[in-house]
Amino acid sequence: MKGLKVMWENRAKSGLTIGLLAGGLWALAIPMAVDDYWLRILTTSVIYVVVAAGVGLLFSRLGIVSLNQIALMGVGGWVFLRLSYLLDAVPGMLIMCLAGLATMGIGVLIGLPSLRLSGLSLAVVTLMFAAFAEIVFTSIGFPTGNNGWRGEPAPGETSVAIPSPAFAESNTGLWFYVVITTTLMLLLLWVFLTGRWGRAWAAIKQSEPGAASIGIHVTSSKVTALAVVSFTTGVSGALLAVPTGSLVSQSFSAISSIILFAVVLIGGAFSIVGAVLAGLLFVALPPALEALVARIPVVLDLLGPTFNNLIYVAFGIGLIQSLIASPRGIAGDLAGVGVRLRRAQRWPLDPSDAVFAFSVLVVPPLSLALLDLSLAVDVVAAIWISLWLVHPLRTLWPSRSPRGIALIGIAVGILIGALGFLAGPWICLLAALLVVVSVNFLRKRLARRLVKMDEELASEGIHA
Amino acid sequence: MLNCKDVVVNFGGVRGLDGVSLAFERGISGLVGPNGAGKTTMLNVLSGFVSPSSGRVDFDGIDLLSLNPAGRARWGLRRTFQQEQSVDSLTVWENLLVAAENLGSRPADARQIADLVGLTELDRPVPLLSMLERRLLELGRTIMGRPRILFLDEPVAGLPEAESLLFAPLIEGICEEFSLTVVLVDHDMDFVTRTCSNIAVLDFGRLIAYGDCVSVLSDPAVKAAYLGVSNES
Repeated sequence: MKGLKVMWENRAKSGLTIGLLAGGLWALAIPMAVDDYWLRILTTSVIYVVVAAGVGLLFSRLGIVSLNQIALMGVGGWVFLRLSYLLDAVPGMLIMCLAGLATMGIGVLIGLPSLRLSGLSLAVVTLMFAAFAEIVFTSIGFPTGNNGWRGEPAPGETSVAIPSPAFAESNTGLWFYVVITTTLMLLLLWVFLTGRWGRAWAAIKQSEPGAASIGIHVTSSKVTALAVVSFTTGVSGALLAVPTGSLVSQSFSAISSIILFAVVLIGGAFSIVGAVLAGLLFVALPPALEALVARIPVVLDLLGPTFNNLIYVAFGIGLIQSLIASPRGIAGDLAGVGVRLRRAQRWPLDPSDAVFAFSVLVVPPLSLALLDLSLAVDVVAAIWISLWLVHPLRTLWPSRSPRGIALIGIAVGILIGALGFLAGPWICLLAALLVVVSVNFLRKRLARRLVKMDEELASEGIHA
Repeated sequence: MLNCKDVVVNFGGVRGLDGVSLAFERGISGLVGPNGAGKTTMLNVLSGFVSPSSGRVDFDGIDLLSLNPAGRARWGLRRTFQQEQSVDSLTVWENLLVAAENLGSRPADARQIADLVGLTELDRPVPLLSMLERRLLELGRTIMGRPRILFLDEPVAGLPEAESLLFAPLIEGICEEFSLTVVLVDHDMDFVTRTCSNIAVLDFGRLIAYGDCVSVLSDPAVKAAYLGVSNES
């Protein structure tokens, strides 16, 4: 209990509080900002976030390339459906956990070769399982609500879909159910990652002999990682079956496991943010691209009905980009931008990370929720510009008082917001971009002065 | 006492160790020899990373060969590596903690160990450490819990002389405090003779001399093998 308390206290210092707060606000804002079609798509994305986080954990912490996670998701979904028909008096959450446990057993079983194999050989073994699972799912199908171990209707009987739970009737209810379950699963992964096991995994990733030499049981540590990841993956498979009470084998093809792995690399395998991005890319990018392309007649004419396959091109380019230019994925790049922004943010008034967090993480979802889309863009652009301007203006104009500089920043922000209000959000974004570019241009021209300023700041003990 | 009897290791057709029999007493002993003599192979056999083709290894009657590397570490047989093994993705404190957690020690003990080896600012990430600090961290990790035997594989490799001078008294102090059997493998003969009471010399997988520093260093076979002086001259 005491250990748990210490762990909690250590975590409070890290990104947990901010992550939960921002995630909560986004979760509240999204159902208000998007229509039902996109809400369903985003709900599915969130389900895949857990699977992506599992893939990322195995890869980034243990170097295991697992190409069967979607198949394991199918296992979770299958067991969930079968048990739901069998145990209709038992609450869905409990059945979900049972499905997770069943998936855990199978995941560990398939993962056992990982104790002997590594790298490409292991990836191939997991891919073989994914192909095997695809064949099994196609031939036996998913339970549809009758007797027998397969839960399928006998010839002549009609199939009965599992009744959806009351909350899943509304899209918003389903969204919150999925978000809460996903958050719990991510927290579970996080507790493992930041605790004793996570440290042991880090040591194993660095060097297996090194880990063994400080008493770490390499085998049991790897099995634990596989077990936890399989459990959460199984639960998300079950979650996938909740909205419609049925599943189809096409959702669990071997190829989708490979694509998921690629997408995790693009999003960033090392963080939860990366997993969220991967879930979005995996589920929401294909329909988004489709919607976009459908508006460009030239592309439609050029590609004809095959324009749906553009998504593979997009993923391919993304993968090459991430392998060459950003090994930590988009999430890693974003973290870098965050660090730079925070530095640029060193207020003359108060170097406040809270202001940064507020403006980046809280303002956008709040405005999305409360205002309509174009107005929300105006407001966010205006606030970001006024915050961003403070530091460059201070270096360009050192004689001004901090309050004066803040006022100028706010005035420019309001101007840009007003422009957007009058001329539309695109003009507003364009104006904001123009301000950023021209101020940066000025800053470069005054580079020598900037260096001098930084020296002065450093002598005052402030790191610009 | 750590006893090795007729240890033989074959790497394909190459004989890595050829019937080595040795007994390391409590205190600091050195294990030296020219490149490829089998020093690291010997450490790997003793710490469980290489299984010998034949032979016995026991400590005060306990058969060590029946334990796997992690089991030996938990029992108290610890080692360092030529390439130190601190985890880059963790902080100094987490590195100590992960060792403490897996070697049956408590976080409070980890803090004491940090003081003992002289590590400060424990929240720094490992890549920011100097080579000396990395070596100290690795040493700290190996003496967590209840160590009984400590193998140090070139603990001062890559350190400037002034820093390697700090290491000898530290190792002596640790050996004293935990009443350890320490086996030190190093190329730096000055460092070895300064630190060790006994020296074993390997050449081509065979033990060619074992005894106190003075007698071993004056042994003609050792001179021939280690210093490159031929018997005829």
